Amino acid sequence: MLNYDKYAPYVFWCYGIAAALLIGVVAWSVLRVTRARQKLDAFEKPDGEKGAAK
Amino acid sequence: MAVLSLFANPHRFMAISKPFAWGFTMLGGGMILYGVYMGLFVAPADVRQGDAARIMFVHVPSMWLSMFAFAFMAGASFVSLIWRHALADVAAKSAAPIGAVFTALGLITGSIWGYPIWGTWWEWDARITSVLILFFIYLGYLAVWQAMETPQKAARAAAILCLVGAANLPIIHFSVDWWNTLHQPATFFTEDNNAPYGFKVPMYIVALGYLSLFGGLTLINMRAEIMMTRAEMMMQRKLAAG
Repeated sequence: MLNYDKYAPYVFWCYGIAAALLIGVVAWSVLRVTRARQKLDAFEKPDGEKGAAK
Repeated sequence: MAVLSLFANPHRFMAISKPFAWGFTMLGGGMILYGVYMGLFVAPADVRQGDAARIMFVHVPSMWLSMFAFAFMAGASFVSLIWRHALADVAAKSAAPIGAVFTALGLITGSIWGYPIWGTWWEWDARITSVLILFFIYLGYLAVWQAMETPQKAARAAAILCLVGAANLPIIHFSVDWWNTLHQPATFFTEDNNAPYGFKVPMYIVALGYLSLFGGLTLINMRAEIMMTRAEMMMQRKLAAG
């Protein structure tokens, strides 16, 4: 189906690296905003509400 | 100016930005997947480059985005220096790591494409070298934010570095015209753009997907930055109160 002949390894490496980098930057951003939200909640909410809805 | 003023209030920004942040990110992801599908399965092989031309669908839009992201940062830095807009620095700082990732992606995929087509992984020609310099400016910009004692000093130094670094953008764009480079001249956004639709459509879809993803991730990181700043302020207030 994906028969790219002698160029196949170059094409697949490029798309693989692109996927890894883009998934990585999305995961990093989501992790960052989640941690920031948890940190802020720790100060804003009274003790009983900690860990509740984000 | 009215739009700039509207978003000058972090509270208002936080209230408005959430659906846009996640919406743009998901829209971007979907468009990239569709563009990649078209690039790998639908687009025909190039008559001269064969299937190696499929690398262009990830390489070229990432280079466009790397320059767009830096221009966005330069614009935000300008607004920060001139009008002291409360969120301009946050916007520039949040866009920087995402722009750096797209620049790295463009450099890596360009290098992998270059080996089968040019016979070399790397060539110190004007276009490739100026993009490498852009990548180092991104890293320098991020380092300035880490190195300064206070966020205010860091914001000012980073904004100046960004505006100076923006001089590299026209050099990147016109490098293929000003110097005799191994890198080919611009194909898209020119008067004699004769690339076939089968090639243009996936390219533009991936480019719009990258743009949407950049917008979404910048908003997500801006939200994270504002929340962290607010948490820091609350912690300092608590410490001061004993």
